[in-house]
Amino acid sequence: MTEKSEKQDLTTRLERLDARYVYLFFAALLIIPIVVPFGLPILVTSPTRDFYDYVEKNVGKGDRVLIWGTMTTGWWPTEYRPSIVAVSQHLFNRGAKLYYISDGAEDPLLVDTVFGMIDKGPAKYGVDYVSLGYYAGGEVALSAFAKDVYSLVKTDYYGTPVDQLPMMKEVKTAKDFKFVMHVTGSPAEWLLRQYKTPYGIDCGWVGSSGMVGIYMPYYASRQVVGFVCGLRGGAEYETLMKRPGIGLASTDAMSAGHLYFALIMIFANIVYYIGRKERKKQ
Amino acid sequence: MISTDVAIWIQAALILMWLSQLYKQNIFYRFTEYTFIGVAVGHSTVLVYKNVVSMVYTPIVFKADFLLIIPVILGLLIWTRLSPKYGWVSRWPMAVIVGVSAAIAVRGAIKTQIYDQIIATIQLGVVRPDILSNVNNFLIVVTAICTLTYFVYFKEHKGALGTAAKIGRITMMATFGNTIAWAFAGRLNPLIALLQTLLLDWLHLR
Repeated sequence: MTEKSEKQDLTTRLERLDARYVYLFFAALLIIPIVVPFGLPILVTSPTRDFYDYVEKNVGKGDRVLIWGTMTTGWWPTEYRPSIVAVSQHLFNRGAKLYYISDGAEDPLLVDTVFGMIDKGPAKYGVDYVSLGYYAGGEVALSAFAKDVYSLVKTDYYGTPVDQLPMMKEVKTAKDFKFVMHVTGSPAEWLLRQYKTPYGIDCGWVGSSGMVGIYMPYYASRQVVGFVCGLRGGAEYETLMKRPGIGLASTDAMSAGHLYFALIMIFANIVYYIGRKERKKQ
Repeated sequence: MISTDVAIWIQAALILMWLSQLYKQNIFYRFTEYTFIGVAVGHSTVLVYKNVVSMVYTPIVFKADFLLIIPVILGLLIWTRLSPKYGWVSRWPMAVIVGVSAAIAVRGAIKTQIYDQIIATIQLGVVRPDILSNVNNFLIVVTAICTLTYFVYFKEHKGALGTAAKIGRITMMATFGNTIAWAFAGRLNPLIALLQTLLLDWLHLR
Protein backbone atom coordinates (compact mmCIF):
# COMPACT_ATOMS: atom_id res chain seq x y z
CA MET A 1 0.00 0.00 0.00
CA THR A 2 1.39 3.46 -0.95
CA GLU A 3 1.82 6.28 1.56
CA LYS A 4 -0.91 8.30 -0.16
CA SER A 5 -3.52 5.54 -0.04
CA GLU A 6 -2.59 4.79 3.58
CA LYS A 7 -3.24 8.45 4.42
CA GLN A 8 -6.57 8.35 2.63
CA ASP A 9 -7.47 5.11 4.31
CA LEU A 10 -6.78 6.64 7.72
CA THR A 11 -8.85 9.76 7.05
CA THR A 12 -11.73 7.66 5.68
CA ARG A 13 -11.63 5.44 8.76
CA LEU A 14 -11.57 8.48 11.05
CA GLU A 15 -14.46 10.08 9.15
CA ARG A 16 -16.49 6.90 9.55
CA LEU A 17 -15.55 6.35 13.18
CA ASP A 18 -18.48 5.07 15.25
CA ALA A 19 -19.74 8.08 17.21
CA ARG A 20 -20.18 5.86 20.27
CA TYR A 21 -16.39 5.81 20.79
CA VAL A 22 -16.45 9.61 20.89
CA TYR A 23 -19.19 9.51 23.53
CA LEU A 24 -17.46 6.78 25.52
CA PHE A 25 -14.26 8.79 25.77
CA PHE A 26 -16.34 11.85 26.53
CA ALA A 27 -18.07 10.07 29.45
CA ALA A 28 -14.69 8.96 30.81
CA LEU A 29 -13.43 12.53 30.56
CA LEU A 30 -16.42 13.87 32.51
CA ILE A 31 -16.19 11.22 35.22
CA ILE A 32 -12.62 12.10 36.27
CA PRO A 33 -13.21 15.73 37.31
CA ILE A 34 -16.47 14.78 39.04
CA VAL A 35 -14.67 12.25 41.24
CA VAL A 36 -11.39 14.17 41.51
CA PRO A 37 -12.06 17.92 41.01
CA PHE A 38 -9.22 20.00 39.60
CA GLY A 39 -10.44 23.25 41.17
CA LEU A 40 -10.14 25.29 37.97
CA PRO A 41 -10.79 29.02 38.48
CA ILE A 42 -13.96 30.54 37.03
CA LEU A 43 -14.22 33.94 35.40
CA VAL A 44 -17.33 35.94 36.28
CA THR A 45 -18.96 37.42 33.17
CA SER A 46 -20.41 40.94 33.17
CA PRO A 47 -24.14 39.99 32.86
CA THR A 48 -23.90 37.86 36.02
CA ARG A 49 -21.84 40.49 37.85
CA ASP A 50 -24.29 43.25 36.91
CA PHE A 51 -27.23 41.11 38.06
CA TYR A 52 -25.50 40.47 41.38
CA ASP A 53 -24.52 44.13 41.82
CA TYR A 54 -28.07 45.24 41.07
CA VAL A 55 -29.52 42.97 43.78
CA GLU A 56 -26.78 43.99 46.19
CA LYS A 57 -27.24 47.74 45.67
CA ASN A 58 -30.92 48.11 44.83
CA VAL A 59 -32.90 45.34 46.52
CA GLY A 60 -33.31 45.77 50.23
CA LYS A 61 -35.45 44.68 53.15
CA GLY A 62 -39.14 44.50 52.29
CA ASP A 63 -38.68 45.12 48.55
CA ARG A 64 -41.06 42.97 46.56
CA VAL A 65 -39.55 40.75 43.88
CA LEU A 66 -41.61 38.78 41.39
CA ILE A 67 -40.05 35.55 40.14
CA TRP A 68 -41.92 34.26 37.10
CA GLY A 69 -40.93 30.72 36.15
CA THR A 70 -41.17 28.92 32.84
CA MET A 71 -38.89 26.06 33.75
CA THR A 72 -38.92 22.38 32.82
CA THR A 73 -37.83 19.37 34.86
CA GLY A 74 -35.48 18.15 32.13
CA TRP A 75 -33.37 21.29 32.31
CA TRP A 76 -33.79 21.72 36.04
CA PRO A 77 -30.80 19.89 37.61
CA THR A 78 -28.05 21.92 35.98
CA GLU A 79 -29.62 24.58 33.82
CA TYR A 80 -31.92 26.28 36.33
CA ARG A 81 -31.23 24.86 39.78
CA PRO A 82 -27.74 26.34 40.41
CA SER A 83 -28.80 29.81 39.23
CA ILE A 84 -32.24 30.06 40.82
CA VAL A 85 -31.01 28.64 44.12
CA ALA A 86 -28.09 31.10 44.26
CA VAL A 87 -30.21 34.09 43.21
CA SER A 88 -33.05 33.18 45.61
CA GLN A 89 -30.55 32.82 48.43
CA HIS A 90 -29.14 36.24 47.63
CA LEU A 91 -32.61 37.79 47.59
CA PHE A 92 -33.48 36.12 50.92
CA ASN A 93 -30.21 37.42 52.38
CA ARG A 94 -31.19 40.94 51.24
CA GLY A 95 -34.53 40.61 53.08
CA ALA A 96 -36.66 40.90 49.93
CA LYS A 97 -40.20 39.54 49.73
CA LEU A 98 -40.36 36.86 47.06
CA TYR A 99 -43.41 36.05 44.94
CA TYR A 100 -42.93 32.87 42.90
CA ILE A 101 -45.42 32.20 40.11
CA SER A 102 -45.22 30.22 36.88
CA ASP A 103 -46.67 29.31 33.54
CA GLY A 104 -44.78 26.02 33.49
CA ALA A 105 -46.76 23.13 34.94
CA GLU A 106 -43.71 21.60 36.66
CA ASP A 107 -42.49 24.85 38.20
CA PRO A 108 -44.38 24.79 41.52
CA LEU A 109 -42.69 21.48 42.41
CA LEU A 110 -39.32 22.95 41.47
CA VAL A 111 -40.03 26.05 43.56
CA ASP A 112 -40.70 23.74 46.52
CA THR A 113 -37.26 22.24 45.89
CA VAL A 114 -35.73 25.74 45.93
CA PHE A 115 -37.39 26.45 49.28
CA GLY A 116 -35.89 23.23 50.62
CA MET A 117 -32.39 24.05 49.41
CA ILE A 118 -31.88 27.57 50.71
CA ASP A 119 -31.31 29.09 54.11
CA LYS A 120 -34.43 31.19 54.60
CA GLY A 121 -33.40 32.55 57.98
CA PRO A 122 -36.33 34.07 59.88
CA ALA A 123 -38.47 34.40 56.71
CA LYS A 124 -42.00 33.03 57.00
CA TYR A 125 -44.22 31.57 54.29
CA GLY A 126 -47.01 33.95 53.32
CA VAL A 127 -45.24 36.87 54.98
CA ASP A 128 -41.86 36.91 53.24
CA TYR A 129 -42.23 34.41 50.42
CA VAL A 130 -45.03 32.70 48.58
CA SER A 131 -45.53 30.14 45.83
CA LEU A 132 -48.54 31.18 43.76
CA GLY A 133 -48.57 28.09 41.58
CA TYR A 134 -49.13 27.44 37.91
CA TYR A 135 -51.21 29.49 35.47
CA ALA A 136 -51.60 28.60 31.82
CA GLY A 137 -51.40 31.22 29.11
CA GLY A 138 -47.75 32.21 28.84
CA GLU A 139 -47.39 35.88 27.96
CA VAL A 140 -51.14 36.45 28.33
CA ALA A 141 -50.96 35.23 31.94
CA LEU A 142 -47.91 37.41 32.53
CA SER A 143 -49.82 40.41 31.20
CA ALA A 144 -52.98 39.64 33.21
CA PHE A 145 -50.95 39.38 36.42
CA ALA A 146 -49.26 42.72 35.68
CA LYS A 147 -52.59 44.52 35.21
CA ASP A 148 -54.43 42.97 38.12
CA VAL A 149 -52.83 40.35 40.33
CA TYR A 150 -56.19 39.14 41.66
CA SER A 151 -57.73 38.67 38.21
CA LEU A 152 -55.34 35.75 37.82
CA VAL A 153 -54.43 34.52 41.27
CA LYS A 154 -57.13 33.29 43.61
CA THR A 155 -55.18 30.86 45.79
CA ASP A 156 -51.54 29.99 46.34
CA TYR A 157 -50.09 26.67 45.14
CA TYR A 158 -51.22 24.92 48.33
CA GLY A 159 -54.82 26.10 47.99
CA THR A 160 -54.77 28.91 50.57
CA PRO A 161 -56.93 31.87 49.40
CA VAL A 162 -54.63 34.80 48.63
CA ASP A 163 -56.54 37.17 50.91
CA GLN A 164 -55.32 35.05 53.84
CA LEU A 165 -51.67 35.65 52.93
CA PRO A 166 -50.34 38.91 54.49
CA MET A 167 -47.79 39.63 51.75
CA MET A 168 -50.45 39.41 49.03
CA LYS A 169 -52.23 42.44 50.54
CA GLU A 170 -49.24 44.56 49.48
CA VAL A 171 -49.58 43.91 45.75
CA LYS A 172 -52.28 44.83 43.27
CA THR A 173 -50.47 45.41 39.99
CA ALA A 174 -46.99 45.16 38.48
CA LYS A 175 -46.17 48.63 39.82
CA ASP A 176 -45.99 47.19 43.34
CA PHE A 177 -42.89 45.18 42.49
CA LYS A 178 -39.37 46.55 42.71
CA PHE A 179 -37.80 43.91 40.49
CA VAL A 180 -39.13 41.19 38.20
CA MET A 181 -37.18 38.23 36.93
CA HIS A 182 -38.15 35.52 34.50
CA VAL A 183 -36.66 32.06 34.93
CA THR A 184 -36.95 30.66 31.45
CA GLY A 185 -35.67 28.90 28.39
CA SER A 186 -38.54 30.24 26.27
CA PRO A 187 -39.29 33.66 24.72
CA ALA A 188 -37.21 36.23 26.53
CA GLU A 189 -39.16 39.25 25.38
CA TRP A 190 -42.32 38.52 27.38
CA LEU A 191 -40.88 40.14 30.46
CA LEU A 192 -39.80 43.29 28.65
CA ARG A 193 -43.02 43.63 26.69
CA GLN A 194 -45.27 43.19 29.73
CA TYR A 195 -43.27 44.71 32.63
CA LYS A 196 -40.32 46.81 31.49
CA THR A 197 -41.94 48.76 28.65
CA PRO A 198 -45.41 49.43 30.08
CA TYR A 199 -44.50 49.82 33.78
CA GLY A 200 -40.78 50.68 33.76
CA ILE A 201 -39.92 47.97 36.28
CA ASP A 202 -36.34 46.70 36.50
CA CYS A 203 -36.08 43.26 34.95
CA GLY A 204 -33.57 40.41 34.91
CA TRP A 205 -33.36 36.88 33.61
CA VAL A 206 -32.31 33.53 34.96
CA GLY A 207 -32.16 31.26 31.95
CA SER A 208 -30.80 28.16 30.34
CA SER A 209 -27.40 28.28 28.62
CA GLY A 210 -28.97 28.43 25.18
CA MET A 211 -30.56 31.78 26.01
CA VAL A 212 -27.31 33.76 26.29
CA GLY A 213 -27.29 34.78 22.63
CA ILE A 214 -30.93 35.84 22.83
CA TYR A 215 -30.51 37.81 26.07
CA MET A 216 -27.34 39.61 25.04
CA PRO A 217 -28.84 42.34 22.79
CA TYR A 218 -31.25 43.35 25.55
CA TYR A 219 -28.48 43.38 28.11
CA ALA A 220 -26.23 45.42 25.81
CA SER A 221 -29.03 47.96 25.38
CA ARG A 222 -29.52 48.03 29.19
CA GLN A 223 -33.12 46.90 28.93
CA VAL A 224 -32.34 44.31 31.61
CA VAL A 225 -30.07 44.70 34.61
CA GLY A 226 -28.28 41.43 33.81
CA PHE A 227 -28.83 37.71 33.50
CA VAL A 228 -27.62 34.47 35.05
CA CYS A 229 -27.58 31.55 32.63
CA GLY A 230 -27.20 27.83 33.10
CA LEU A 231 -24.69 25.96 35.16
CA ARG A 232 -21.97 28.43 34.32
CA GLY A 233 -24.09 31.39 35.46
CA GLY A 234 -24.95 29.57 38.68
CA ALA A 235 -21.27 28.87 39.34
CA GLU A 236 -20.43 32.53 38.70
CA TYR A 237 -23.16 33.68 41.06
CA GLU A 238 -21.96 31.26 43.74
CA THR A 239 -18.45 32.70 43.30
CA LEU A 240 -19.76 36.23 43.79
CA MET A 241 -21.71 35.16 46.87
CA LYS A 242 -18.68 33.24 48.18
CA ARG A 243 -21.02 30.33 48.79
CA PRO A 244 -19.98 27.22 46.81
CA GLY A 245 -22.90 25.08 45.65
CA ILE A 246 -24.00 22.80 42.82
CA GLY A 247 -22.70 25.20 40.19
CA LEU A 248 -19.11 25.36 41.36
CA ALA A 249 -19.10 21.61 42.08
CA SER A 250 -19.78 20.95 38.38
CA THR A 251 -17.55 23.49 36.66
CA ASP A 252 -14.50 21.23 36.24
CA ALA A 253 -16.54 18.61 34.40
CA MET A 254 -18.17 21.37 32.35
CA SER A 255 -14.79 22.84 31.37
CA ALA A 256 -13.42 19.37 30.49
CA GLY A 257 -16.47 18.65 28.33
CA HIS A 258 -16.25 21.98 26.50
CA LEU A 259 -12.51 21.58 25.89
CA TYR A 260 -12.98 18.03 24.59
CA PHE A 261 -15.63 19.03 22.09
CA ALA A 262 -13.68 22.11 20.98
CA LEU A 263 -10.68 19.86 20.24
CA ILE A 264 -12.91 17.25 18.57
CA MET A 265 -14.35 19.92 16.27
CA ILE A 266 -10.89 21.19 15.27
CA PHE A 267 -9.63 17.63 14.76
CA ALA A 268 -12.70 16.60 12.74
CA ASN A 269 -12.30 19.62 10.45
CA ILE A 270 -8.61 18.87 9.88
CA VAL A 271 -9.44 15.23 9.05
CA TYR A 272 -12.23 16.34 6.72
CA TYR A 273 -9.99 18.78 4.80
CA ILE A 274 -7.11 16.28 4.51
CA GLY A 275 -9.59 13.66 3.28
CA ARG A 276 -11.09 16.08 0.75
CA LYS A 277 -7.66 17.07 -0.51
CA GLU A 278 -6.69 13.43 -0.97
CA ARG A 279 -9.93 12.64 -2.79
CA LYS A 280 -9.39 15.60 -5.14
CA LYS A 281 -5.87 14.39 -5.96
CA GLN A 282 -7.19 11.02 -7.14
CA MET B 1 -19.87 3.14 50.57
CA ILE B 2 -22.81 2.77 48.22
CA SER B 3 -26.03 4.65 49.06
CA THR B 4 -28.73 2.90 51.09
CA ASP B 5 -31.41 5.43 50.11
CA VAL B 6 -34.17 3.70 48.06
CA ALA B 7 -34.99 6.93 46.20
CA ILE B 8 -31.37 7.28 45.06
CA TRP B 9 -31.38 3.64 43.90
CA ILE B 10 -34.53 4.23 41.84
CA GLN B 11 -32.98 7.40 40.42
CA ALA B 12 -29.74 5.58 39.56
CA ALA B 13 -31.60 2.68 37.94
CA LEU B 14 -33.69 5.04 35.80
CA ILE B 15 -30.55 6.97 34.74
CA LEU B 16 -28.75 3.76 33.73
CA MET B 17 -31.82 2.55 31.84
CA TRP B 18 -32.04 5.90 30.08
CA LEU B 19 -28.33 5.94 29.21
CA SER B 20 -28.63 2.44 27.69
CA GLN B 21 -30.15 4.24 24.67
CA LEU B 22 -26.60 5.32 23.76
CA TYR B 23 -25.85 1.69 22.93
CA LYS B 24 -29.07 1.04 21.06
CA GLN B 25 -32.86 1.29 21.36
CA ASN B 26 -34.16 -1.08 24.03
CA ILE B 27 -37.09 -1.79 26.30
CA PHE B 28 -35.40 -0.29 29.39
CA TYR B 29 -34.90 3.05 27.66
CA ARG B 30 -38.49 3.08 26.45
CA PHE B 31 -39.70 2.29 29.97
CA THR B 32 -37.94 5.41 31.35
CA GLU B 33 -39.19 7.50 28.45
CA TYR B 34 -42.82 6.47 28.97
CA THR B 35 -42.51 6.82 32.74
CA PHE B 36 -41.24 10.39 32.37
CA ILE B 37 -44.01 11.33 29.94
CA GLY B 38 -46.63 9.62 32.10
CA VAL B 39 -45.54 11.40 35.27
CA ALA B 40 -45.35 14.77 33.49
CA VAL B 41 -48.80 14.39 31.92
CA GLY B 42 -50.30 13.16 35.21
CA HIS B 43 -48.89 16.10 37.11
CA SER B 44 -50.01 18.62 34.48
CA THR B 45 -53.51 17.14 34.47
CA VAL B 46 -53.83 17.56 38.23
CA LEU B 47 -52.64 21.19 38.04
CA VAL B 48 -54.95 22.02 35.15
CA TYR B 49 -57.86 20.41 37.02
CA LYS B 50 -57.08 22.54 40.10
CA ASN B 51 -56.93 25.66 37.92
CA VAL B 52 -60.27 24.85 36.30
CA VAL B 53 -61.88 24.33 39.71
CA SER B 54 -60.49 27.54 41.26
CA MET B 55 -60.70 29.81 38.21
CA VAL B 56 -63.79 28.53 36.40
CA TYR B 57 -66.04 26.18 38.40
CA THR B 58 -65.98 28.06 41.74
CA PRO B 59 -66.58 31.57 40.27
CA ILE B 60 -69.42 30.35 38.04
CA VAL B 61 -71.21 28.13 40.57
CA PHE B 62 -70.61 30.02 43.83
CA LYS B 63 -70.08 33.62 42.67
CA ALA B 64 -72.43 33.68 39.65
CA ASP B 65 -69.69 35.02 37.36
CA PHE B 66 -71.48 33.86 34.21
CA LEU B 67 -69.19 35.75 31.83
CA LEU B 68 -66.68 32.95 32.36
CA ILE B 69 -69.03 30.64 30.43
CA ILE B 70 -67.77 32.25 27.19
CA PRO B 71 -64.15 31.09 27.57
CA VAL B 72 -65.45 27.71 28.77
CA ILE B 73 -67.45 27.31 25.55
CA LEU B 74 -64.46 28.43 23.47
CA GLY B 75 -62.28 25.94 25.32
CA LEU B 76 -64.71 23.10 24.72
CA LEU B 77 -64.93 23.97 21.02
CA ILE B 78 -61.24 23.08 20.61
CA TRP B 79 -62.27 19.45 21.17
CA THR B 80 -64.24 19.50 17.91
CA ARG B 81 -60.84 19.02 16.26
CA LEU B 82 -61.29 15.34 17.04
CA SER B 83 -64.25 15.20 14.63
CA PRO B 84 -63.44 15.20 10.90
CA LYS B 85 -66.87 16.71 10.20
CA TYR B 86 -66.86 19.54 12.76
CA GLY B 87 -63.09 20.06 13.07
CA TRP B 88 -63.35 23.47 11.38
CA VAL B 89 -65.18 24.83 14.46
CA SER B 90 -61.95 24.55 16.46
CA ARG B 91 -60.52 27.37 14.31
CA TRP B 92 -62.71 29.88 16.15
CA PRO B 93 -61.22 29.42 19.62
CA MET B 94 -57.76 29.14 18.03
CA ALA B 95 -58.37 32.47 16.27
CA VAL B 96 -59.29 34.07 19.60
CA ILE B 97 -56.17 32.65 21.30
CA VAL B 98 -53.85 33.77 18.49
CA GLY B 99 -55.56 37.17 18.21
CA VAL B 100 -55.39 37.94 21.92
CA SER B 101 -51.78 36.70 22.21
CA ALA B 102 -50.69 38.73 19.19
CA ALA B 103 -52.43 41.87 20.44
CA ILE B 104 -50.82 41.59 23.87
CA ALA B 105 -47.38 40.92 22.38
CA VAL B 106 -47.51 43.72 19.80
CA ARG B 107 -48.32 46.33 22.44
CA GLY B 108 -44.82 46.19 23.89
CA ALA B 109 -42.93 44.69 20.96
CA ILE B 110 -42.44 47.89 18.95
CA LYS B 111 -40.74 49.74 21.78
CA THR B 112 -38.97 46.73 23.30
CA GLN B 113 -37.66 44.99 20.23
CA ILE B 114 -37.38 47.78 17.66
CA TYR B 115 -37.25 51.32 19.12
CA ASP B 116 -35.10 50.60 22.19
CA GLN B 117 -32.72 48.42 20.17
CA ILE B 118 -32.26 51.12 17.50
CA ILE B 119 -31.69 53.83 20.13
CA ALA B 120 -29.15 51.63 21.95
CA THR B 121 -27.26 51.01 18.70
CA ILE B 122 -27.24 54.73 17.81
CA GLN B 123 -25.93 55.60 21.28
CA LEU B 124 -22.97 53.31 20.64
CA GLY B 125 -21.77 55.96 18.16
CA VAL B 126 -20.98 58.34 21.03
CA VAL B 127 -17.20 58.47 21.64
CA ARG B 128 -16.15 57.24 25.09
CA PRO B 129 -12.87 57.76 26.99
CA ASP B 130 -12.17 54.01 27.03
CA ILE B 131 -10.50 52.94 23.73
CA LEU B 132 -11.62 49.29 23.96
CA SER B 133 -15.25 50.32 24.44
CA ASN B 134 -14.98 52.51 21.33
CA VAL B 135 -13.57 49.62 19.29
CA ASN B 136 -16.30 47.33 20.60
CA ASN B 137 -19.05 49.87 19.87
CA PHE B 138 -17.63 50.53 16.40
CA LEU B 139 -17.72 46.79 15.64
CA ILE B 140 -21.32 46.51 16.88
CA VAL B 141 -22.50 49.45 14.74
CA VAL B 142 -20.66 48.25 11.62
CA THR B 143 -21.78 44.61 11.94
CA ALA B 144 -25.38 45.71 12.67
CA ILE B 145 -25.46 47.81 9.48
CA CYS B 146 -23.74 45.06 7.44
CA THR B 147 -26.22 42.45 8.69
CA LEU B 148 -29.10 44.66 7.62
CA THR B 149 -27.57 45.09 4.15
CA TYR B 150 -27.60 41.30 3.74
CA PHE B 151 -31.39 41.56 3.59
CA VAL B 152 -31.40 44.21 0.85
CA TYR B 153 -33.14 42.43 -2.01
CA PHE B 154 -33.90 45.29 -4.41
CA LYS B 155 -30.24 45.72 -5.49
CA GLU B 156 -27.70 43.13 -6.54
CA HIS B 157 -25.02 42.42 -3.92
CA LYS B 158 -22.03 43.84 -5.83
CA GLY B 159 -19.22 46.26 -4.93
CA ALA B 160 -19.56 47.98 -1.53
CA LEU B 161 -23.00 46.49 -0.96
CA GLY B 162 -21.63 43.01 -1.72
CA THR B 163 -18.76 43.45 0.76
CA ALA B 164 -21.12 44.74 3.43
CA ALA B 165 -23.52 41.84 2.83
CA LYS B 166 -20.62 39.38 3.09
CA ILE B 167 -19.55 40.90 6.44
CA GLY B 168 -23.20 40.68 7.49
CA ARG B 169 -23.30 37.00 6.59
CA ILE B 170 -20.13 36.30 8.58
CA THR B 171 -21.60 38.22 11.54
CA MET B 172 -24.75 36.14 11.44
CA MET B 173 -22.78 32.91 11.18
CA ALA B 174 -20.71 33.96 14.22
CA THR B 175 -23.93 34.75 16.10
CA PHE B 176 -25.49 31.40 15.20
CA GLY B 177 -22.25 29.65 16.15
CA ASN B 178 -22.33 31.35 19.53
CA THR B 179 -25.97 30.32 20.07
CA ILE B 180 -25.23 26.72 19.08
CA ALA B 181 -22.20 26.63 21.40
CA TRP B 182 -24.36 27.76 24.32
CA ALA B 183 -27.08 25.30 23.34
CA PHE B 184 -24.45 22.57 23.36
CA ALA B 185 -23.38 23.68 26.84
CA GLY B 186 -27.02 23.39 27.85
CA ARG B 187 -27.13 19.78 26.62
CA LEU B 188 -23.88 18.88 28.32
CA ASN B 189 -24.92 20.15 31.73
CA PRO B 190 -27.78 17.67 32.35
CA LEU B 191 -25.36 14.85 31.57
CA ILE B 192 -23.02 16.16 34.27
CA ALA B 193 -25.97 16.14 36.69
CA LEU B 194 -26.76 12.52 35.82
CA LEU B 195 -23.15 11.46 36.32
CA GLN B 196 -23.02 13.31 39.63
CA THR B 197 -26.08 11.40 40.79
CA LEU B 198 -24.52 8.09 39.78
CA LEU B 199 -21.00 8.70 41.02
CA LEU B 200 -21.51 10.89 44.06
CA ASP B 201 -25.05 10.33 45.37
CA TRP B 202 -25.30 6.62 44.53
CA LEU B 203 -21.75 5.21 44.54
CA HIS B 204 -20.31 7.82 46.95
CA LEU B 205 -17.04 7.93 45.00
CA ARG B 206 -16.02 11.18 46.63
